[in-house]
Amino acid sequence: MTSVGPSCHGAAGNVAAPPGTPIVALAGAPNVGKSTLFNRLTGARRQVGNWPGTTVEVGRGVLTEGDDVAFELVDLPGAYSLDPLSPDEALTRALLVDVDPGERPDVVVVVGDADRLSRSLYLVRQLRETDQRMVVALTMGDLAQRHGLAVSTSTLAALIGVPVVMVDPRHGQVRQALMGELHRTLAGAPPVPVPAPTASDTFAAADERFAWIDSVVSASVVRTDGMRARWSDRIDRVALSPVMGPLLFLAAMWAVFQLTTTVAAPLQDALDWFFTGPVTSTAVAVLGAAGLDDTWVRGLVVDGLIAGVGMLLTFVPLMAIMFGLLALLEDSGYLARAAVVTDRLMRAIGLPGRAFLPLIVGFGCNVPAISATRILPNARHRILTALLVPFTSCSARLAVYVLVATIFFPEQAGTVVFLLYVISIVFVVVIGLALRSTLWRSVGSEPLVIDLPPYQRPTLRLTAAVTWLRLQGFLRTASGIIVATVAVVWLLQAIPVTGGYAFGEVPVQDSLYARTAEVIAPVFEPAGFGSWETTSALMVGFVAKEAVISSWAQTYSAEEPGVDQPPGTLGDSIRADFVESSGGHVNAAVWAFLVFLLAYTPCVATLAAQRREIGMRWTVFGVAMQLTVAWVAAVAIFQIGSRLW
Amino acid sequence: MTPSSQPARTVRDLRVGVAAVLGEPTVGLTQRLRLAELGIRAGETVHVVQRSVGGARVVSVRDSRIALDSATARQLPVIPGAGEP
Repeated sequence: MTSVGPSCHGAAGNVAAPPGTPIVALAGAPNVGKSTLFNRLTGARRQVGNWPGTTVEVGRGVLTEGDDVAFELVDLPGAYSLDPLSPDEALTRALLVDVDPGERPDVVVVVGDADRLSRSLYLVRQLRETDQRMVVALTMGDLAQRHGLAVSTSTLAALIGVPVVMVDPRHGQVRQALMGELHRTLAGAPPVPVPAPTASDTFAAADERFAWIDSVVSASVVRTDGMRARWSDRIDRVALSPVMGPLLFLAAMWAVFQLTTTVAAPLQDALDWFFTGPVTSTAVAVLGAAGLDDTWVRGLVVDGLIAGVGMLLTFVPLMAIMFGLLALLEDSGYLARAAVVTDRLMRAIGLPGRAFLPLIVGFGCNVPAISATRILPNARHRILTALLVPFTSCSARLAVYVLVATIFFPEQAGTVVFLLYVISIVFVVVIGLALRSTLWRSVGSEPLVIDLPPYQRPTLRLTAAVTWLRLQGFLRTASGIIVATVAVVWLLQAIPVTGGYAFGEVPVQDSLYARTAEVIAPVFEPAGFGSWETTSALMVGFVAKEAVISSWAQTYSAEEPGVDQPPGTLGDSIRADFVESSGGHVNAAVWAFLVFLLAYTPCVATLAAQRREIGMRWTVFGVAMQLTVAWVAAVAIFQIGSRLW
Repeated sequence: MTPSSQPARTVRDLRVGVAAVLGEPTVGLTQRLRLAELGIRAGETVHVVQRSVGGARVVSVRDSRIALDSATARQLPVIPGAGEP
């Protein structure tokens, strides 16, 4: 390889493509269905990760014919043109233009929107000024037809000088339509480049390209009726209305979280019964048969692996519902409207409307949300957004909210959870304002310029696929950490520090785990939850929020049950703990705990993402800020609340 | 708001449903190029489809709907009389 820059040929990673497999890159503007096409073409044989040496996420996969790998596919970041305004667009340009010709993809598939054709052709035109082999794949043909537009792919292909195919990755098969053109394009000679603009001035050159686009569109698109039925406009009269828009947004968010709590609860209960009942008793029977019943191995398996990992899996339905609902909002086109409605709010804290996207993704999981800050072209906006994302309440925290709210406020659990999300938004706004008025005084606001996609009826298959992908990603990120955390917690609980107990046979209150928590616990006494049990749960919650519950489960199952306390009643144990630590002001302590849980460091995976995106210095600053804000808020709530309740 | 008797000077002043022809945007260079890529450039006919939160405007340009914040809409001059009924 001669190029010093990135190359599609040089970073194959673990994708199972034999050496020499032709590389096909998918390029195109955001929201044209590029990634949907990539997912449809590659199926399960894909990987998504950062491009080596960059912070930009790129998907890679293979396109097969029978059992053979025909092409390796690279899903490039969305780009309107080859004039980059963000790191994502810069990578797309680097891989398509700036590298040596031999390092470029063998074929580029430019994915365009048939419903808004002129938008997609600027990138096509810029690539046509090179001899890059190219196929144009048009999506949204159904929408164009519904809007009275007939696109002649043959005319378009003749005018732009490369093949054009119509594809429908949301509903139909796309492989057959594309595969033949890819083979023909690869076998044929490179296209003769279109002459570059004669003007040296950037805008005069752009105008020449736009004039070319105008002539191409007017010749290849026929309007079949005079008036376009615009259902999207009619819906937007409400969704974007200055009064109804924010109300609808709040209603949508409330519905999402209400559905999450009410629908997920019975599924969680069923899974909880499965793990604490049949799985545990089976494991105990197997260990007993193997003669390991009274050894530390039983503790590791039952109180460590089953209690911890089982608890994580119990909350999979919760995550799946949240991811599914977010995918529905995304696929329907509503998320872009939500960015418009919240732009004023974002602007007040010095962030552009598009910063709403990482922040809303943060409500699903902070890790991809931190990665999503890369859509912001301004580095300071990226840092500020990445520092605010941890205050958005992720679904892992939701699992703990639901448990605690169900224990202490069973009749109002949904409302309690909703209020925590409102508090999360308040944190984002207040801390954003505070940072802007101190560290970021000089930062200007990014203008809101959002291309609104037409509303679409979400497809079950696409929603399910996106949900599954995100769920997989979540489990992949969380499971390793959770297993490691559970193992470490069990180990700390197994090491005796007093009483002369043997390893693995020590009561938890005499273990190194309890001793460590006891040292920290006084810090939380002013907040009403200064017990070692709660402190130890918060300690592992620093690693991953799901582990708060598994830590509680481990701690209380490891303890000798009290006289009136049946074994395995986690809720009763937690309640008794809060009653004692709060001096009777349980409600105040529970709210203080929930707000602390909301505001302090989400998980180590988020920290890893922050370090990757904004560097170690800002990550450390963020951790210190989160802990300070969380502690101050929790103490304030308990000190005020305990005088009222 | 511009009185109804006065012609609109920018996209921000346009009434919903009224078409107008864009003049040269007065935004910065990079934003001007991005707007142009989205179809918002001098000589293009636009009309406001929707007024939204905080003075934002949704404009129709060609076959697209673009949401613009209030400040950006103010930086998009429209040619008086051109396109307005």
